[in-house]
Amino acid sequence: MTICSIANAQDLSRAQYNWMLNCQGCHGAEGKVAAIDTPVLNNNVATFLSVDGGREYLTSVPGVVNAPIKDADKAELLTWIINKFDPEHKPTDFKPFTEEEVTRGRLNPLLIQAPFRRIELLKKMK
Amino acid sequence: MGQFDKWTELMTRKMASKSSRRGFFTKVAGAALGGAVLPTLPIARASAQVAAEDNGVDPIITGLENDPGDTTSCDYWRYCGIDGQLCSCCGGSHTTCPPGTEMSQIAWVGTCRNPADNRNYIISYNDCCGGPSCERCFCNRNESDTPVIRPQSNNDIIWCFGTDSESYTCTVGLVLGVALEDE
Repeated sequence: MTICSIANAQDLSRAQYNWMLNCQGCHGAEGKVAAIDTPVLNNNVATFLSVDGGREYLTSVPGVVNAPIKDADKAELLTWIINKFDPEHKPTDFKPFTEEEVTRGRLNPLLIQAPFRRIELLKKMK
Repeated sequence: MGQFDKWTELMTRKMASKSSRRGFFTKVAGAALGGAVLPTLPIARASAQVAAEDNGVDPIITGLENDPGDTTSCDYWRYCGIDGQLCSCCGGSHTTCPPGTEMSQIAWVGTCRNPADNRNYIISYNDCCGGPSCERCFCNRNESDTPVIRPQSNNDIIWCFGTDSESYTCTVGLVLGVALEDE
């Protein structure tokens, strides 16, 4: 975790700010924490983009759906997460998430179904 | 009279040979200045604050212009969203856990306004876990706290996850960055 004194506290991009305020608490600063069954994002999250339904899954998981920010900002944040934490697995034809996609995800949320959907997608990856 | 003059001269010379004039003036000036300056030093104000707040712990004044306050006081600006015991009062500091405890990997994150520059900063409240419970300096300010149905922003939860022990000791307030201002 980057801990600053006031003197070296940095101004942040909007995506980074939204990450810190809405995601970092559970996923950890580097997206590596899996403390309360939170999926590890680092070197992992973009693998879902390689299977059918994976992109939709990422827009409708509880953490994304419940983050109290605008859909356009959320699309920017999801794109930032892919680039920041898992560029390794990012498909070469990756396109940034759009506001419309995120709105669709929010209107079709995966709540208690999220872990089951996840298992289905992981099976497809094998 | 001649004898008396001789004796006085002898005594004066003896005294002068054993003491320095600079030493004498330093002591006199020190006593005069010390009396005037001591009450204005921070330590004097600090003890006054203890009496006012009476949390049983001596204050720890940051002494930083850009991060002012007493880190053992609930009123310290970084604690605007805190709910728990202050590690500053429990053997740690406002940024470090007490020895023998472990900082939680996950935390709840909010923003607080720094009175020094009137800007909002992102603050991560991490629990320190694994030590005995600390009954000192309980603070419950709750700014940006949300009901437990939004667990990621709820400070009633003990965030001792991902640590060897889930027993709660105290909480620290870490600055992560400068918050964006509302558009």
